[in-house]
Amino acid sequence: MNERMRSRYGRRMRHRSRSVAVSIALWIAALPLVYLAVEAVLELVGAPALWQAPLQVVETVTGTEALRFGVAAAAVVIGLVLLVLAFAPGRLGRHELADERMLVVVDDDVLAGALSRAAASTAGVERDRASTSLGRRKADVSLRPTSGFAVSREDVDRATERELERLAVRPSVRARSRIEQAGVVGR
Amino acid sequence: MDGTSPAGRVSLSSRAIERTLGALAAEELGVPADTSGVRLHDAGGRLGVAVTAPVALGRGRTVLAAAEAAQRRVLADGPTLTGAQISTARIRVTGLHDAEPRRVR
Amino acid sequence: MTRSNRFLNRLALLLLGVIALAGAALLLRPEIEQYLLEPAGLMVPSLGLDQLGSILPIAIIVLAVLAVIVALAVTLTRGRGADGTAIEQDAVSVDANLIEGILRRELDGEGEVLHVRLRAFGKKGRTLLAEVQVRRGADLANVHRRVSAAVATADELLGEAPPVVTHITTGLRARLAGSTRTH
Repeated sequence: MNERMRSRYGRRMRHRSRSVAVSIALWIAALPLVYLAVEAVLELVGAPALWQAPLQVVETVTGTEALRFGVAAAAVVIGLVLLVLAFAPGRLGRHELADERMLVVVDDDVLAGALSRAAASTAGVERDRASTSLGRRKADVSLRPTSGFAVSREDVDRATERELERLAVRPSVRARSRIEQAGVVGR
Repeated sequence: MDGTSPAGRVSLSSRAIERTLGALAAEELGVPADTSGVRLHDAGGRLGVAVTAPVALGRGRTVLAAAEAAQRRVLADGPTLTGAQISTARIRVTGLHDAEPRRVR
Repeated sequence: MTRSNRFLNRLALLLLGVIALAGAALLLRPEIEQYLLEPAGLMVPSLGLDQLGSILPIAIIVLAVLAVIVALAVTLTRGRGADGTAIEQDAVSVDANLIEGILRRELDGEGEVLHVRLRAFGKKGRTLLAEVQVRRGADLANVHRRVSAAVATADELLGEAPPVVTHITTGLRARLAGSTRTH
């Protein structure tokens, strides 16, 4: 797996494709138009309308308070979602695991989970007692011990360090752990 | 053997040719003949063959080796069996063949 | 996907978003007038919608047809296509599907791997992308090991070692850059 491919893929992976969103948005936009078109065609050929003739549909929707607010609310929500999608970076936190054969990319939530797991395991507590916040070069691990059973911060630091080394994470991450004052009774 | 002499030439319909060539390839790939699909096209007056088929694993051959063998087989035995002059053959391996009971279509 | 495509996608989303909001604004014109603009002393330009009556049906049909055509065109040309070809040689080609099948087989017993998908991607399309979806809190080192072994097996069975990128994910993706918090 050479460097050129690595950087090319890295570039691509940084931004989430919005093409699905565009497709969906276009179909949602087409829907009311298609419905109105169907009503229009029915009107033109003199057949009974599905609901009302297009002009009347427009009048009813703009006339009835409930419908007007309802449709407007839907339009606002859709519009805002689309704007957010248009501007949101779509960048995903990721790290690489060193590998000879191929490029291995891991989402940060998976990596954070692995660190939490290592921390909890060392401390002898359930996994959900450890929580990891992972940035590009730093990880903050927070652990809630079992009441009455102290946990040494150094032990947890060592465990997470070992895990990071084991995984061969790139770019390298330094983990710092914090044992919460308040513990949890039992398990 | 150039296949141009009319005497003693075997001559099949194109569907039969497809089936025959498909069976040849399928055998090399270790899959049932009916899992292979064959498309014929003209290649300068002679036949060009495109085979699409899955492959079965565990036959002691790599997939590429099996596919290459299938292609050679089509080129070598195809003309004899079908009576057609074959100019090119290409094998496209589409996936694994599960030895599970076939789904009824 | 080219960079311009990405930009166009975002532009399209922006335009559609604005149109949706404009539509909402149209519907809420009385309220906007009443609560926002009149107190500020501004006036709303009146829209000559009343004259549309006669051409409305035709206009709607035309618009609808256009909308469907555009939606179809965009959906169909999204260009993801089939999984793609993993290996292409003169006499032989191998679909990515085959390798996906091998990986699936190898990773099946592995409880932590939920899903494996393999497809060809990239400009030349020969690099393979393996999307590996794992359970939350999975043992990452183990998953890495298992995936490596699976790929090694695939290389052996295939008779070649195509370039592979493996992406390990939970399938629930964080949208924003920065810290990621997990439980």
